[in-house]
Amino acid sequence: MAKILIVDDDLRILKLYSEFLSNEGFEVLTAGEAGIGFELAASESPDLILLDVMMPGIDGTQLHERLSKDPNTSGIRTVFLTSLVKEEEVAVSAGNIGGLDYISKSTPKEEFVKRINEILSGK
Amino acid sequence: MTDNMEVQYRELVENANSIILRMDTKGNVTFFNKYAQDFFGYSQEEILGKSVIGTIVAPTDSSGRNLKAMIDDIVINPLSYVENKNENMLRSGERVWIAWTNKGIIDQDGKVRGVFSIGNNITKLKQAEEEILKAKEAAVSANKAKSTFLANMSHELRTPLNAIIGFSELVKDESVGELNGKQKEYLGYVWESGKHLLSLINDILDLSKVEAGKMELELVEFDLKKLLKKSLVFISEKAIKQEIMLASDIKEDVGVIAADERKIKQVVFNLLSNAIKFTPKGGKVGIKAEKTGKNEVLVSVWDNGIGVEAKDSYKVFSEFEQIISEYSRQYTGTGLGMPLSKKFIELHGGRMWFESEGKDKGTHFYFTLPLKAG
Repeated sequence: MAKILIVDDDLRILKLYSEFLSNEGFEVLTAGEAGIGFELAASESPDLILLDVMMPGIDGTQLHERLSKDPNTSGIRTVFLTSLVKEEEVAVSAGNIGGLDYISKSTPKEEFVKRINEILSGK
Repeated sequence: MTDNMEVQYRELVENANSIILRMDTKGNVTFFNKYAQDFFGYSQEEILGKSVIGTIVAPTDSSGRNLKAMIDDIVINPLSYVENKNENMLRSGERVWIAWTNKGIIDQDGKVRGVFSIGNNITKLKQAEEEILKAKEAAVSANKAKSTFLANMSHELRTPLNAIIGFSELVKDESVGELNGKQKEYLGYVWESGKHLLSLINDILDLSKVEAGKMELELVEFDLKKLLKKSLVFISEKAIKQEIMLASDIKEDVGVIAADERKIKQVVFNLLSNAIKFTPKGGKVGIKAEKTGKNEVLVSVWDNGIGVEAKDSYKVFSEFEQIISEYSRQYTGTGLGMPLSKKFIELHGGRMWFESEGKDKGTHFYFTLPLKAG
């Protein structure tokens, strides 16, 4: 089963998505900040990283850049997590993740899991 | 007799309740009636032969407008200043606003010899105008501040709400352990209420964006016919549950439009779910769409439900207003769906309105959208 790394400074979000995904049989790793996230990405080579946009210190977009520049992690698929729910908000948001994959944190569980499966199967 | 008439005319001009003056092509005063003398505070002897600049006209007005240049132009080109409002100056230095009508005095060769002007004091009117303008600007900026605040707040509100919705869903679905019936039911209420609150926040955010002028449309070309048909399929489950029949009359000429698909979908879905919401069991809800004469599509969503009484009709597109009835009481809406839908349609250059013949007579909602040009 696929291995998924979640990076978010909000402990509740980490727990919630761990539950969502481990119930579906995924192996879940969590990191509460970007530094640990990067280390885990490099050492565990997850199939997918779910990345919070707004984090204190190194934020999601900066971590994304670091991951994509490092040859050890550049091949890992990254999907942003955002509390923005609408495309046009995401497109103009401060983190500027327009054009990249994202999942709204308001996505209900079933849809969330479905999206993850779609992303993993390359859709 | 002629002399007498001239005296009469002279009296008329002298005593008229308006400023009447004449100036030559250099802008020097050649006539200044009694009213003007009293108003500006110059006697005839003091002003005749003097330039209007520096006496009754300041070289620049309070806002920095070059009035000397204006006077230089008026005496050459009086036709461009037939009606002219500008700031003037009293002898005391006090600034006033005068509405002037100017007429060139033309000689036999067609040359401008001077300008004849009649003026009325509009200072008070001008002040009132400025106050209204200021008040309006203040209101606009307050409204913008409100919208910005709402947009930021909405974002902050969502974060904890996502945890409430997510965890209640997780526990309610017994993903983390078995629940008894009551626990399951009550957690279901927490989850539903959280979702309702989230949609309310989303609507508020949208509305505040529209009002702040920040709502941007993502225009794409798509087949409106398909969107309408899909919406009907989507809503059919709800209709079946309410034992409501769905009717569809979508004409083939309803084709491709360039619009924000997500917003149009939201509007159609909102209209359809409202129609179902306000139609009793056994009723009928339908959608009709056709190309009208102009390059425009007319879509209507109708029902034979509870209708709208005339006294309530103003509420339909008002924010946070819901018409209280035995039906709406059972349902918790946000009260923002209709005003938001109307604004979305108007952003696209369309119109939205409704018709109802009254209580229990059903309701027809209409909206238009421009068809893709060419």
